[in-house]
Amino acid sequence: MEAVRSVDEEIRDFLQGRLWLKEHLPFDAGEISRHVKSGWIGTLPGLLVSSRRAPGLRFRCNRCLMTAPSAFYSFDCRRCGKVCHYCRHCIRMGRVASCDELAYWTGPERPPPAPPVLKWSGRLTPAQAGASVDISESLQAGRPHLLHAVCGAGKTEILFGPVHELLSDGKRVCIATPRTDVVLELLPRFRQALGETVIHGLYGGSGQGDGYAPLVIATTHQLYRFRDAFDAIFVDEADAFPYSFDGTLKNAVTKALKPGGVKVFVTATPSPSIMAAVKKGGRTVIRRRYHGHPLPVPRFVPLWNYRRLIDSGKLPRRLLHWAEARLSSSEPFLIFFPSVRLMEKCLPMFQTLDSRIMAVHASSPDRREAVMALRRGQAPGLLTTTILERGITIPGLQAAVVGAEDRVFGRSAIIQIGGRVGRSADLPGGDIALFHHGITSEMDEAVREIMRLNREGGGTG
Amino acid sequence: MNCLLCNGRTDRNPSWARLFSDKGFPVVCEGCRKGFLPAESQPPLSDWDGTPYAGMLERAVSLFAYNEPMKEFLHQYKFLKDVALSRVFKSELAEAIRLSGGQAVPIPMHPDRLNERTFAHVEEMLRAARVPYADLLEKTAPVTLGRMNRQERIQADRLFRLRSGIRDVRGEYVLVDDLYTTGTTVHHAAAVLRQAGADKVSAVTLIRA
Ligand SMILES: [Zn+2]
Ligand SMILES: [Zn+2]
Ligand SMILES: [Zn+2]
Repeated sequence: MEAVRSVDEEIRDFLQGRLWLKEHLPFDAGEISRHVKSGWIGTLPGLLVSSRRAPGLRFRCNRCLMTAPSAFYSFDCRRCGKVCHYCRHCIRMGRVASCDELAYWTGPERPPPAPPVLKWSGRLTPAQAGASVDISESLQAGRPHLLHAVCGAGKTEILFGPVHELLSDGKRVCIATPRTDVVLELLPRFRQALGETVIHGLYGGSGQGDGYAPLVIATTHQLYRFRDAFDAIFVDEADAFPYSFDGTLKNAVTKALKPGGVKVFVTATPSPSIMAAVKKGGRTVIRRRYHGHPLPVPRFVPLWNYRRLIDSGKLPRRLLHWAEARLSSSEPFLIFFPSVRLMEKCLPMFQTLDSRIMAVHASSPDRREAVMALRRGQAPGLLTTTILERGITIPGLQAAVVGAEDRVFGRSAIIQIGGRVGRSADLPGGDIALFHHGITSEMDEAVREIMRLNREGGGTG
Repeated sequence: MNCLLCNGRTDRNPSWARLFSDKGFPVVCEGCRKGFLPAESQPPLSDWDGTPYAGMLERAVSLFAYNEPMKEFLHQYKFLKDVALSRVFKSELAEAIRLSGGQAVPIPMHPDRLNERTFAHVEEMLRAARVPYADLLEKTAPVTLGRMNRQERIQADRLFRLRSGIRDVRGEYVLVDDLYTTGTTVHHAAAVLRQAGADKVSAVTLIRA
């Protein structure tokens, strides 16, 4: 039965922990200004003037915390009649201009929802269980934590326990990940595990989420719209682009955390800056996949002058044979390309082998459908740029990289690509072919790292 | 310089940069630029034959087709209010207005809509193109044409009037707007100018929808 709720409570539930363009709030403007007057809604100017010194004004966007001068643009504002500036960095979430206000809740807090029941009844491996306990201890102690786990270690299951404990204590939790695909993969698993709990899944185009959710699973960008919201944020794939490159995302995580809140980093390939961030915190390393089989080791396959061959409309013979072998044994596959251009050159040639082969890149509108088709066996394989290197789990998947020497395929990208292969217990093996025009040190380092993890993983479960 | 649309580099291809050296740096990259295709057909003014608006427009030119990249552009410019994009078509627009000959007159927005959008999208494009313009018209009501059928569009009350204080408009004019759909907007605007004494009125629209 729908409980009768006052407008005040609806505004509180929506706005608590969020930072929202005032004119975009989904409530009556009169109600909003009443709360501003009463002091239950606070406001920030859209942009902060951070410097007036020559050569000109400097700004900080109060939503995304961008400060680079090139992100700001000025115009004659016909609403306020002045020269206004706006932030281009976060414009897709609704433009923030100098004469806009960002609203946040300062009134009485919402009482926490009833403790959820953990419905997940799977068994953790000893390594997973240990990691779960380590994370809970760090959360209790209020210190940051790094979960350094190989791809396929079963990270999601490790998080069920700590997330459930936090929610049971009435805490608010966020899982932030760089990619929409990962949000969509995690959402149903957490919804199943946590039963009644309201969980918001937020990503570009997802809608804003009604009311209050004690658990938010979101792309990292969505944290621009939160402020002092979470007691704990799990930063998934913290080494991944764009988190590792876009400084505003790191700041967004800090802004979205309550004072005294805890960050838990989850990654397969921690960077030096992540190591520095958890220097005083806890750390757990899992070197084995949950099924105990070693990580498949990529192999190098020379593909000399492949660009010239492809430009002249031919697929290099070794690459052709690799794809034919996958097709004849019905093994799903991903072939990674360094650029959209090269991939699109190759697509028609692959389609002569099987017309159902598809290509996806960052701006493909049908990305999700293509991955679905691969999962359901309707597409035998996909050509892709590096956007699909993470977060895809398909049993029996095989992977190839064309142009592994290209600088987009760094050590961490290659390890992640390898991590897509051999994830299921039934099909723990698989091929990762790095087709190249010359072996780079990044390729060497990736393989060395995987072999090291396999060696060290021998003893832990 | 980064591309205004995809944020990629605009100066990767030296020959491309050279091509633009006389017009300043390109503001969008070659890849994004290639997405915009020329309009496939010019506005069919003969649609207006037999109506009170026949012959009001000397000629009408549309520059680009209404394809996906163009829809995406308009969404970012008008809906997301990314005023910076007023510069994307500055050279093409300036050239087309110059060829049409006459004083540029932007199609105005209703003050309520202007307050909501915070900027006048046609005027901003003219300013970016450094085309001097005369603000001669004002919109009479915040109507949208979307729901009207052909008969209703022809019989509709004038969508525009001369701004107060403006009387003598002898001379040649180029109306400038973003979209040419049925032509109702530019025909209504042209009629106002012609009845106030304009000798010739033509129209340049960025897009043929
Ligand atoms: Zn911003
Ligand atoms: Zn303003
Ligand atoms: Zn571009």
